Parts: sequence; structure tokens; C-alpha cells
Amino acid sequence: MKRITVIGSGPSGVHFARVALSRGYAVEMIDVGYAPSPPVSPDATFNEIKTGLDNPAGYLLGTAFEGILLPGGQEEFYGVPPSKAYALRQVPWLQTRSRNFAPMFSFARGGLAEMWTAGCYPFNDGELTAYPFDYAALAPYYADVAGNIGINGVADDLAGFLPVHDGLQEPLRLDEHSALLLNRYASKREYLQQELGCHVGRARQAVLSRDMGERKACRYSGRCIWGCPTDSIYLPSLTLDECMRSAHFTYHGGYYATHFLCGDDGRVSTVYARPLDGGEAREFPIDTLVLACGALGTSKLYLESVYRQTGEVKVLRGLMDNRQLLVPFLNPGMIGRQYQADSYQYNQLAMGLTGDAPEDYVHCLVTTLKTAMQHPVIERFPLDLRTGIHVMRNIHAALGVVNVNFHDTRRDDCTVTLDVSAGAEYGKLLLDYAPPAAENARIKQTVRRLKKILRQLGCFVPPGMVHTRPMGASVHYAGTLPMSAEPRPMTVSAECRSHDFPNLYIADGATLPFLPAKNITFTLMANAARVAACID
Amino acid sequence: MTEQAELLTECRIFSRYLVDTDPGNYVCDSYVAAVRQLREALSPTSTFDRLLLRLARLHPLITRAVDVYARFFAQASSIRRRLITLLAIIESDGKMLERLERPDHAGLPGFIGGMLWRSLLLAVLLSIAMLILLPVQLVTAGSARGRPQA
Repeated sequence: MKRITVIGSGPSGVHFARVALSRGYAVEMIDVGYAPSPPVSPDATFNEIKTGLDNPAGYLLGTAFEGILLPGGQEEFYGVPPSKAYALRQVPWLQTRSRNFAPMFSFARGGLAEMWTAGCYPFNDGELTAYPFDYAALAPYYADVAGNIGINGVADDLAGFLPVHDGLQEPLRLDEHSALLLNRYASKREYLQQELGCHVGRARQAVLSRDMGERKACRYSGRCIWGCPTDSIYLPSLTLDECMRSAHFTYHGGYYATHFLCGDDGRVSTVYARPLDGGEAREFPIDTLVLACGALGTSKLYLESVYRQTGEVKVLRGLMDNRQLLVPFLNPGMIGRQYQADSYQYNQLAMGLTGDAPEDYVHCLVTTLKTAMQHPVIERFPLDLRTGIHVMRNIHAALGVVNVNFHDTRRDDCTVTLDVSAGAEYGKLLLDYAPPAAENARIKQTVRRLKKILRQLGCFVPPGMVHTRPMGASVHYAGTLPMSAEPRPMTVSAECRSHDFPNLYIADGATLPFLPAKNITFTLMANAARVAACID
Repeated sequence: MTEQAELLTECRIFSRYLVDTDPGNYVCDSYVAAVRQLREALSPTSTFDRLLLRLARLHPLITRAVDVYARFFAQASSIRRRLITLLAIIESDGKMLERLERPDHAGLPGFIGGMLWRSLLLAVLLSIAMLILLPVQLVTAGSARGRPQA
């Protein structure tokens, strides 16, 4: 039986492994694999957590109160909930330095997608122009992944931007505020589409609206932000569990893979990995190696390996990420109403803004505020806290935020390389990002347009509240080892086989040659499944 | 007064200011634990910061005047940070759901009317607080230890 070694258990790694196992390969996975704590009171709703636990602050704010967002302490509206902090726990061997980029790394069992918001948005042909394949080639894998993880959605006004693939479950129950916004859109559809290039529809989410195996349909418990206690929201660790049930799957948890070395034939022969519990690096013999540790993790491993093999420090060009804006809004029509704690908490609506070319599409996620902690919002009001509490009680149900995503392109001045001068055991990862020249103008124009759209939907944007997230915050990293039809160094083939090392495949975001404005996780899973289906 | 007793008094005054009620054991215990756990982030960093905290501990009405001043002129001050800490703990308390989350159901006109009155009160309090505290802040500005105050 042929043996494949996969590094990383994120969405790309587990879906590659799942399909490779189904094709009869033996798969072993090397992974750090930090795991979460077991869910607390899985049957309780959000408010029952508050009333039923002896120490609800321990759950909601963390045992060290790390979930409290203090004034002057952060730029972002929200931090990571304490229950998901494991997903950002680091390893001692990875050092980074960056310019204009705030990278996030995860060594969790399941990777960074353990803290995702479950958005599943397939790329369309316009967005795949730079790819060596079209939507038709990817569609079967979108459907395969959808059938495996459970995605809800519907063919609506966004279908022109979000291809409708097989395997969709019916959408979730809408919360009252989202339903109101969708109704307003329906009444002004023609104007919004023709004058403002705005299309609104239901979000596509990897959340079960009906039972699937042992996983239960969403119960609307309101606990999504702290981690779904019933696995209704898909996480890659669920697919890892599925792989682990196979007799042909071996999981080497607790190992951080640092680099690989090649034999005289130029093929990768050995992977070196450091055990978390200390000691010397372990050597793993390799037949076929698949890197799936996220675009930055894969880049680091690749650069370290080339340096150790040749003494040469390479520069990987074309680092991409989606610039994101957060545009809070207030819907006066919802003022004075009770917010719905018993509802799905992430975005239920999505909005597409058309551009001059298909790749200029701007993708927006519309989230209405529900059980997210209130104190970070109240703290930002230009009021004393007592008045702030009064205001929040009355406008809680009326608040929302549009998360605006912009596309990114590979540019030579966005680089990833190593600093090996410090004498450390491993090179330090250096990231340098240069925003596109017209970015500020693009952002301003989009904000103006979005304000007009929100006014049509009966909402307004409070002054001074638009927040441009730092580059790196969207965690849609891509482009450093791209797919290329020509066999150039530091690229991969259409099947994601390295042009430098014949038995090396790269199955994560590093291979994407263009980054549309959409969340990429679904495409990463589908592409990894495609690569596993092509591997020989 | 021991630190524990001081913190409990502080918790009671701040709770009355924020939500018009005395805190229960859960809120008190959590607040004391949080201030100890987050000691570095919640301790005053300057003479003026200490003064704001001492004043705010005197009476809920003074807490409000200090808070509204701190919101505009000392946003990252110890008093503001402690009030947010207590608010976060109160927010996690199921017994406080009604006080924190039940809207007035007065509709938009009622809400706007109420806000006009509250804004007027806020302006008066801010003016008084500025008259008293701004000169003191300017005089003591040199003694700040590092954490940004606004």
C-alpha cells in the first residue's frame, strides 16, 4: 500500500487525508494538535449557561479573566473567546518578524479553522481565471466536501457570484433582525442591484440544518461564539476524527515539523519534527509528502528545508490576504426590541458588491449582534457607562456589523523569507506586506457605497466607527508557492505537485494564484480533495 | 481597611452606579478575583489615576461624574478599566439578565426622548467634572508612569 505523509491537520490536511484514505492510500499525519477542553454543559443555552453555572465568568471571560477587553488594550472590536484560546497557542520553535502584516498561526488539532465563522463561498469562473483549471473542475469537490461537512444555503440573488453546487442543506432559521433586512432588500431589489450593484442573499455556512450522522442540527442555543457544544458547526477536527477511525491512518500528534531533507535523487526522503514534550527531533521517512500547514506554516517549512539542503535563503513572493473592513450599523426599526439570544450567532446574510471585472467583486458578511459580549461595545460609546448600559439595552437588537472583504493579488513586494543570521536553531520567518497602490481609494469608495446601501436598508453607520482591520487579521493567507502551468522554481503544478521536489505536494492556501474577496476555507478543502483525487 | 474590604466596598459602589443594585456574592467574589488576577492592568499608574479611583469609591454619583470625565480625558485609566471589569462580570451573571438586557419597549420616539434627557444630564456632569478635574490632571500630568491615559 502506498504511503503518504501529511503535515498539518487544518482543513486542507484533513480533507486531503480523507480522500486519500478513500482511494486506498495509507496516510500518516504529523501535527502539533493542541486540543480544546471538553464542552461545558452541552445541552444548555447561552442564557442557561449564565444562570446554571456556578462560575459563568470562568466560561465566558476565562479563568484568568482574559476575555475582558479593557479600554486602551486592543484595536479590534472583539478578541478570541477563552474557550478557543487553544487554537492560538504557539510552539517555541517558531519566531516571526513582520512589516504591515499581523500573522496568526494555529497549532490546534484542526488548525485555524477551529475558530472560523463557518462561511463557505465557492469561487466562480471569473475568480478562477488565474488558476490552471475552471469551476467545472472544482465543482465535484465542492459538492464532495459539502456532502461531507454539511453546508446550508439556497440559490438566491447571490447565485451569480456564489455558484450553487450539490450537497446544500436548507438554510437556517433567520433571526428577526436579519429577516427584516432581507425583507427591506426585497422591497428595494431593483434599485439596489441596478444603481448600487448590490445583491443580498442568505449566507452559506458549514452548519447543519438537519442531523448528519452523530452530529445534530443547529439547536439555536446561542453559543456559537464560544464553540458549538453539539458539533452543528463544522470543524476540521471532526474530519480528523473520521480519518482516525480508518485502520490505514496514523496520527503523530505532539510533533512540530521543522523541515525536510532530500536524498541524492532530489526526492524528499525525511521529515524532521520536534516533540512537544522535549528531546531531539524525530525523523520520519517519506514516500510522498504533502504540506498542509497553512500558507505561512508551509512557507516556513519549505524555506527552512531549502536553506538546510542548499545553504540558500530563498524569497517567496506573492503573499496575499483579504483586507477586511468592519462597518457597524444601527437599524432604528429594531430599537426597543429584545434581541434574540436563541439564534444562530454568526452572519446569516451575505452581500455581494459588483465591480468592473469579476475579480473586483467585494464580498460582505452581514452579522446582527446577539450574544456577543456587550462590554466591548458599551465601552466604545461616547458616554458614561451607566448611560451606555441604558443605550445598549435599547439598541442591542438594532446593532449589526458588515464585514467587508476585498480581493488580493500576488505582487512581488509582498514577501516571505527567513532570517538565519541570528544564530538560532531555526530561521526566523520574515513577512513583508505592501498594500496595493490604490487600496485607500478603494476602501473609501466602498465605504461610501456601503453607507448608501445601508441607508436603503433602513440603517445608518454611526460616525467614526468604520474599522480597517490590520492586514493578516482575516487569516486568509495565500500565494507564496502558487500553481503555475509552467514548471518554474518555487511553484507547483495544476495538481499541486512541487516543480522543485517530485514527491512533494502542497495542498493549502500557499498554492492559490489569486485571492478572491471570499472566505477561502471551503475552496481550500475542495482543492485539497481535488489534489488527493489526482495524486498518483 | 484590608484590600479585600476595600475591593468589596468598591464593588458595591460601582455596582450601584452601573446597575442600581448591590452586587451578589458571585459578582463580589469574581470582582475581587479579577482585580487580583489583572492587578497590573487595573492598578493606577499615576497620581491623577489614583485620585480618580479614590474619588469614584466615595459615592455612586461621584463615580458617574468621574466615569464621564474619564471617558473623554482618561480613557485607559484605572477607574475606567475597573468599571469595565465589573460590567463584564455583571454581564456574565444570570441574575442580571433583566437589568442589562431588557429594553424599555418605548419605541424610537421614547428612546430619543429619554436620550435627550440623559444627554443633558451627561453634559452637566461632564462640565462639573471638567471644572474640577481638568486642572488637577494638567498639574499632575508629569507623574504618569507609562500607560497611555487616553
